[in-house]
Amino acid sequence: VNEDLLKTFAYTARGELAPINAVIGSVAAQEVTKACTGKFTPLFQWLYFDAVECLPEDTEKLYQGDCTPRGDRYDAQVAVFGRDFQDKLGKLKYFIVGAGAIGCELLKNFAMLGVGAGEGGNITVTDMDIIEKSNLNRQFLFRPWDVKKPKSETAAAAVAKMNASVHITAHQVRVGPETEHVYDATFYEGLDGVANALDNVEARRYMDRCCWHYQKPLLESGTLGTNGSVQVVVPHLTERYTHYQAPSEKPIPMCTLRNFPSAIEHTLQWARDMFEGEFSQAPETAKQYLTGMRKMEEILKLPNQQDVDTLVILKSALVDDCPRSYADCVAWARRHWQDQFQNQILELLHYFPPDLRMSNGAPFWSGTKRCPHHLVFDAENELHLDYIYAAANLKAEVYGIRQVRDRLKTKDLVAGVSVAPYLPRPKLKTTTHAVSDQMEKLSLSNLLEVIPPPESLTGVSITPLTFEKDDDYNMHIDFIVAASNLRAANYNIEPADRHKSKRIAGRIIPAIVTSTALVSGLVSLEMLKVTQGHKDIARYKNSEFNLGLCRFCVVEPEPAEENTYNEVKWTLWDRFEVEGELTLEEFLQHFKENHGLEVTMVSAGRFTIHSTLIPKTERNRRRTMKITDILKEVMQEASKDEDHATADDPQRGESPQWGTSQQSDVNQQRAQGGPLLGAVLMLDLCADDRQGQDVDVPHVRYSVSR
Amino acid sequence: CCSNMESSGTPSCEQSDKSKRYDRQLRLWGDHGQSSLECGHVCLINASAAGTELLKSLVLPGVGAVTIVDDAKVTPTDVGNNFFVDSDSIGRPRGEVALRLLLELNQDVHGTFVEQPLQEILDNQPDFFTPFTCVVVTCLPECTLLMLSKILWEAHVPLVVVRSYGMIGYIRVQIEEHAVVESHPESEMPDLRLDRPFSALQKYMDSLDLESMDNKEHSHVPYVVILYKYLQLWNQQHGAPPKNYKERKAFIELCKTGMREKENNEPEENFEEAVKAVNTSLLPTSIPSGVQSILNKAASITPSPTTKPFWIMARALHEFVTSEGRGALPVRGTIPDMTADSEKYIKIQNLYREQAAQDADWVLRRVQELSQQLGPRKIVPSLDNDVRTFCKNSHALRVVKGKSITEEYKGSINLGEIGYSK
Repeated sequence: VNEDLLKTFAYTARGELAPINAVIGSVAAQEVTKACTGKFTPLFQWLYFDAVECLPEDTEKLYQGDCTPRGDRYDAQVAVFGRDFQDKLGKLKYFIVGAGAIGCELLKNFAMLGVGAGEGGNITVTDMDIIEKSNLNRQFLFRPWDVKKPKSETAAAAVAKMNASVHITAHQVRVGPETEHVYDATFYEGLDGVANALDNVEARRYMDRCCWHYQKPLLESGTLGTNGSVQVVVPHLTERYTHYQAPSEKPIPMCTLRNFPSAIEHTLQWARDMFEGEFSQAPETAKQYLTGMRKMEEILKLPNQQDVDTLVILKSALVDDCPRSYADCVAWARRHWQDQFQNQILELLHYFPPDLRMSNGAPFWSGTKRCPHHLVFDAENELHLDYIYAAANLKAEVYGIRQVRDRLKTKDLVAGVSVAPYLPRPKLKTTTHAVSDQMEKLSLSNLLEVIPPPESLTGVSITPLTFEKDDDYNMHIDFIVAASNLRAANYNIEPADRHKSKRIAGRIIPAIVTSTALVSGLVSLEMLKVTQGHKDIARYKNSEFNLGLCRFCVVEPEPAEENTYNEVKWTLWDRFEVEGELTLEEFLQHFKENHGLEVTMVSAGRFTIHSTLIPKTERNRRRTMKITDILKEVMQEASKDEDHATADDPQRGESPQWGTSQQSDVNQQRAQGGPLLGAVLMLDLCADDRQGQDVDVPHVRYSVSR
Repeated sequence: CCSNMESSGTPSCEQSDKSKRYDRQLRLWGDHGQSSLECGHVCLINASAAGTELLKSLVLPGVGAVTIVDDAKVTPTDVGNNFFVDSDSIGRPRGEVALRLLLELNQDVHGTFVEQPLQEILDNQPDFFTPFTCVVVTCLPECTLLMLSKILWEAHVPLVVVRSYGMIGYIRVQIEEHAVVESHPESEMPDLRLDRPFSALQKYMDSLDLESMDNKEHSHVPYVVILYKYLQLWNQQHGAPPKNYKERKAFIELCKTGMREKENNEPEENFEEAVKAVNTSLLPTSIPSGVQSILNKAASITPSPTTKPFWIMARALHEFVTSEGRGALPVRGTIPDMTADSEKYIKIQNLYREQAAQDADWVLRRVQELSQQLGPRKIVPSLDNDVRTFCKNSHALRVVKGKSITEEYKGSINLGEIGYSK
């Protein structure tokens, strides 16, 4: 018997912790769901889970601490960690970024643990979203009557009910460079840690950058269906947040979409693009012309054929296919059907006949290039009618014409539409853009003649549609399903039902509460370790799991990579702290004397302050200037070069400065002509070591004295 | 049980409301999974923190009904750990408080609270548990757990035991058997039936003649045709398809004799594909042993009104194999991608698809007949689809067998010591 282990168990078994319950409860709930639905593979009888690595590294602390119950809500927790640790939890200041699925669960766990419930403690939660119906299946702090209310405030109010002593501040601020006046240095410097509860990689990367900059622990997690993952980032110990791109996220090549689809994903993307072109982009162009937002003179100045393209769109939207009634919409839909599913396929086969051989004798249509066949319209075919019905109604909506939600009526109307027979085009054209052949023959001047001035189009009003996957009444998904399945029929691809189509076309990530509750439980356990201040990296755990398959993978985080210059070891967490203001000369001298480094280049984001490649006279001129003065000059030069520089441009990605409240209001600063400089500059160096070798060195945190 | 599936009177706006609410999970388990979940009635014994955490994750996605059995009263510690009980409720029945707050999460879920001590229920109403889809227990003494385990095992009701102590937690799942239809095997051999072609396939294959094809056609014949043709030739010489590595090697050499040289001196790609496919595509059509044992069991059962749909389908499948299928499972109906001219490829693809549809139709008819013999049963709207999925995956069906908790304890400890006597 391992005595230590037994002792540890004996000292803690009386206790109970919310995160452990969250972990065990969510896995077990998935098992019950399996029993009810018969979906997924059940757990084979046993699952054991422990998180003893949350306990103090020095076990003696565990045995000595004050664990006496006081009859309060934390007794069960105090039984494990002792009263001192409970007080520590109460004093924590945490930032939870997002109050969605993971956010709700995290807030619950944190509230149960008593995070921010003591003097000086606080939880800040931010989310700019409002509550949607589809959130209610997993975001358990929200009720049906909360729909359309802000997530963060609603969640904060719900948490206050669970544990009234938690100090919680709710914001509706999107994290990003544009809000660094809210989340500024003072804010971050006061934090003990950050927990991400985000739904996109961009924001995750941004938060990682902030946490790296301010050297704060970051708890990161995400879910996808029954899958989930947790990553803990601890300054000076682990690597930073990493994101691996799944192969499924890669875009589909254009030629596959246009001419050679071989999977339903391809036809769905094609249908989605068609929706965008027909019902969003073209109407937007027409609307801009109609409302005078874009004048003919401006259109004619567009480069690269865009003038003609725009006019072709206008002619179609305002002259040829401008409906006056629902019947017109049906007629348009029918012609569109003909063009998409018959003519364009016939045309493709006209240029690439089914028996075409390539120069090496191999058939052109082979492998993933499936030879298509054209469809013949049949109003009795449900799928054909689905398309007409959806397309006509969407067209009607764009033009503000009363929709007719009546399939039979639509069927009657479509019977009366005649379509021109297909005639092969004389010129080779492999794109499938909806440009009819007569139009292409029209020159710019011909087009100009037929497009009436906006004043004469008073009866026409156009509203572009915005794709919305979640409204089952708007027919957007209906259109996409029909278009995709018709194209799938062209290419002998197995069609997809509405659910599958919606998931793929809407890029909707399936989500269930069990995975969310599990990642949040695991994140909360990592929070306990971070708060304990564990120094041993092996005590932290990154996790990945699939609840459907009962696969759990728990690994030690990757340590921060170690680099060396002049025998000094450093990681990405280290930086040179330099107190300003210094002249460039003093700055270079500082590195030579204190670190044995010959600095060959100094840059702030994309601005170069010093480089051996700069002409000598200019270099010498700069030597006596202060670092920030050089930067001001360089930035001004750069902004002169950029005609279309917008106010937030220098703030993009590689922004050299980190905001303080004094210099944060970018626009205001710009209006006053003031330079965008912060109290702290992050500088990058290129440098040679004592042996004259080019070496990697840490970043420089340069404080500008006031 | 499934009122939501049959009642046609449900206003459509409510359905849409529901599909919006469950949208993100429908993408995971579809309408079928959702309606099964909505038919589920889960019993939780002891509304501990872990227990309510679990119920929360069932109420949110819309389980049909929950019943909480708990005779405890709310204590201050419960308030600290259990986010579903508040400090105002100290001293009140714990199950009642937890249930009220849980049901607030989802109005579609029905809930019942039973304050009777579990032991009393076990002693006086052992049938109490049989209607549940699944029973979950937390914090139960071993002796009571064993009694419950025995009752549920005999009643074929799955049991999930959940426990957490300090930094440790465990789950024990007790299920008698779990049938997996879509097991998504990692490596799958194609089902081409070259050793025993169905008549439509044979007819088409025989209509093709490799010899008389011009070079271009010859180099774009799908490799299934090549394998078929050379298998015919091989069989004439050897009487039976290649059985082992050595024979397959000889068969490859035989195929290569038919390969023509292209103008650019390169080998024909379709022949190269055929050669590569010999090891996977020429295996004799057979029934995997795991599936065979499922069929054997299905053969031995007498379908009754309580027989699970899986076993009715397995029974029909068994009958298919022994009659219509002449010893083989239904044709799967999918073929791999291959270098080929589209016309022949699509033709062959359709032959397999049509045969798969025909085979599944046979099984479906038999399932319907068997169901009718058992008297009026609930109409399963997805039956057609279920049977097709079942047939398509029939080569990979799996049944996972479990062990009862009572069984586990036998022989390992003295049951009398923990007060278990039955």
